[in-house]
Amino acid sequence: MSRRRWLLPVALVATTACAAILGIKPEASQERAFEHHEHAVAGVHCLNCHDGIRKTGETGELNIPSKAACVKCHEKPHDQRECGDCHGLPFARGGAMRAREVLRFDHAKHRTETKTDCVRCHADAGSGAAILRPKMAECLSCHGHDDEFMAKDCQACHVDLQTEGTVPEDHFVHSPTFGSDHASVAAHADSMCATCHSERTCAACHAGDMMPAAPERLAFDTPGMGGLHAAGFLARHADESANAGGLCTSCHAPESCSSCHEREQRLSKQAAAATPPSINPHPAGWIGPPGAPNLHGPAVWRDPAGCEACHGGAGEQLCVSCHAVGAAGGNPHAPGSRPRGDLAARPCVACHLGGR
Amino acid sequence: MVSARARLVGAATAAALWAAAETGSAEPYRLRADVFAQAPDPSAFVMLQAAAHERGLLLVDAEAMVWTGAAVDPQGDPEAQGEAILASVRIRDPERGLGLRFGRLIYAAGAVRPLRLDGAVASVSTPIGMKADVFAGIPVQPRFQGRSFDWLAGARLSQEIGGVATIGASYWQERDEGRLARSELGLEASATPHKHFAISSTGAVDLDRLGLVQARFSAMLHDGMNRLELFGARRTPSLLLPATSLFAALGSYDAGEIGLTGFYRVAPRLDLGATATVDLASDRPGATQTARAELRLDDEGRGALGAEARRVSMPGHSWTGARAWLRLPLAYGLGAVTEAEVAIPDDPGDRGPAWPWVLAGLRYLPVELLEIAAAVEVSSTPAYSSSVGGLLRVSGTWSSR
Repeated sequence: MSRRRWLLPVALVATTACAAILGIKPEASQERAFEHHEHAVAGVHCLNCHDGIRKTGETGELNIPSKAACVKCHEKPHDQRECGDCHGLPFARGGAMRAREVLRFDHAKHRTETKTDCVRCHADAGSGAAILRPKMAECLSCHGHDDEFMAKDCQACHVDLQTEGTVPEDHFVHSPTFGSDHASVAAHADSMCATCHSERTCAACHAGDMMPAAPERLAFDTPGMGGLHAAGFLARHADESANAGGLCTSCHAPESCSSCHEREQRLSKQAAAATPPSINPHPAGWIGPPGAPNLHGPAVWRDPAGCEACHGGAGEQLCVSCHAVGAAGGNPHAPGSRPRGDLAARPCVACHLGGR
Repeated sequence: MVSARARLVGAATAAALWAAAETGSAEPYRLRADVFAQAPDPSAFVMLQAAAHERGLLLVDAEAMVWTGAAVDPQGDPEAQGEAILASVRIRDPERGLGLRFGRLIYAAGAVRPLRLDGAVASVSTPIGMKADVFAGIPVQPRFQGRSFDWLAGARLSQEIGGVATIGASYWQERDEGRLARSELGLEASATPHKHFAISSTGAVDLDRLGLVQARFSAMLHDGMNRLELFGARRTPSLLLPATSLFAALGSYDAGEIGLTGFYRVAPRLDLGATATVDLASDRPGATQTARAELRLDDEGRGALGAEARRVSMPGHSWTGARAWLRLPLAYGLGAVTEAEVAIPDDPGDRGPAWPWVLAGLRYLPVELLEIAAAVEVSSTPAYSSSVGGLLRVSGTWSSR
């Protein structure tokens, strides 16, 4: 019986704690929005408080009323603090300040057009919402912007979308895996992607080995990134690349592997404590006489780019020495493959001496 | 000796940086500098990123991304390094739908794989939704190592249909010392029948060697917060290499995967994600499963606690991994970050039974637009039983507006 008596309070506390952790809040406490609705109902016109809006252009003061403006009507404030400390949300004010930075907008000009009917754009003023910045759809209800859409000229209103970082409401969800899944979508949506993402975004990954470090490495202080090279990728990279034949070539030139492996080789010699003693990337049974496991055969068919990374160019001679026509290594072509090419020309002629 | 091409890229970089600094005051120009250093594989570099816009009769955008620094070369000696990753200028005439981009750039559109080139892209958009791109240039190799007779050129044509679909075709070819190294025809199709549903696919065929280079498809349901996507890809690894490589001539097994990925915002501060993939490598099927959760510690997401589990099954390369991370804002602009991972291979051989990796660090924002981060990482890899390293990054951003 006594256990049951405790059950309800414990469940309530646990539920409340979970809800708080998960960010679930009752509607009433969700917002401490400024009482725009109440002021409007009381017949206070927007310009009574936001007087400076009459003259505000693209830049200049934001016209968020100060305590001095409030006490013109509220002659006996119930508190000595700044009114804005409790009335209205800091992030709503922050959003307005941000909008001033990233949007081209002239309140004074619009006041004439709308005959000072602010609610025509700030439609949420009547709902008690915290953020009254009009949605883009509200702008477009008057401004068709057909020309700008056609020309992909977002800069007509947005100062610099690439640094603004505003995500459209029906945007593709950039989940942590989007970095590795985006190819198919981005193929058609290059203009849309370019709206927010500069070429530098592409370069961060697709410049591959031209970059001094992988993006996840550069942003090491943002843990939990979902990129291909996140966390301890260095330890996993051999297995990761073996499972994705050809994928590495999307960003990496063949020199990528050799530049690191050469350095690794040197460092391992210097580091006496290094184990295992050999850093040869190939496992036992990799290469041997005919009849031995010769694991390198299937490996090259799975990811020839991985082999070319170290053995490309002059290194091809390593293959030729065993696999030239008539040599002990036998036919090196993948089962079922029918390579095309002129046997008398490079690269075929390397093994097919004399074009045979 | 500095090659003519290095001089050209240097001049283009300088022009882009100059354009970034000289454009009209009404438009913002931005500069970001990152200083990054790491040990014990020591390297340090400064990366500069600049962007500028100008609006007049024409829209002009310039951006540059360059870095310079020093690292220890394979022989153990300090070596100066540097790279101009991007240095491009884009000019658009919005009224006529004309565009020109030139300099060192990345071209990525349609079924054309992302190409890095020193060259130009000219574009035409028509009011009926047709768009054409023509591009040509010299393929970019790392460290200014351009092959003297290489060039690539191509074009893409796409047509929008009824505002809900796009089809397109592209062709490009690359030469290696005068010989045809790649010759690809790409086709693409995408549709957005509903604002929350999108499907897309691309495929590229090598015309010289007659084979599918790679194909991809995606069908995605999304609502701005959650996402469910069915995706697939198929590649012929040997056709991804230039035809002039011996390894391209050996042929290859096909590679690819088909999978389902989902991302679900369960609660305002809790995200869940999962991906399941079946690998389609023709000689040995495999599978990958990943599950992930992240709980934000505040409404703005400055703090977060997350975990991820992963299982990769592939004969000879199977492993199981777990990862956890924490971002914790502290007082006075300080924040603590930590991340830990362990990967356990099924068949470790002589590579060690497990590969743990731990990073712990601090980030500090003394003033707006300046950020300092430092971390220590400890790991065990197949090559080293233990390794301790340090990372430092100082980032500053300037903007004219």
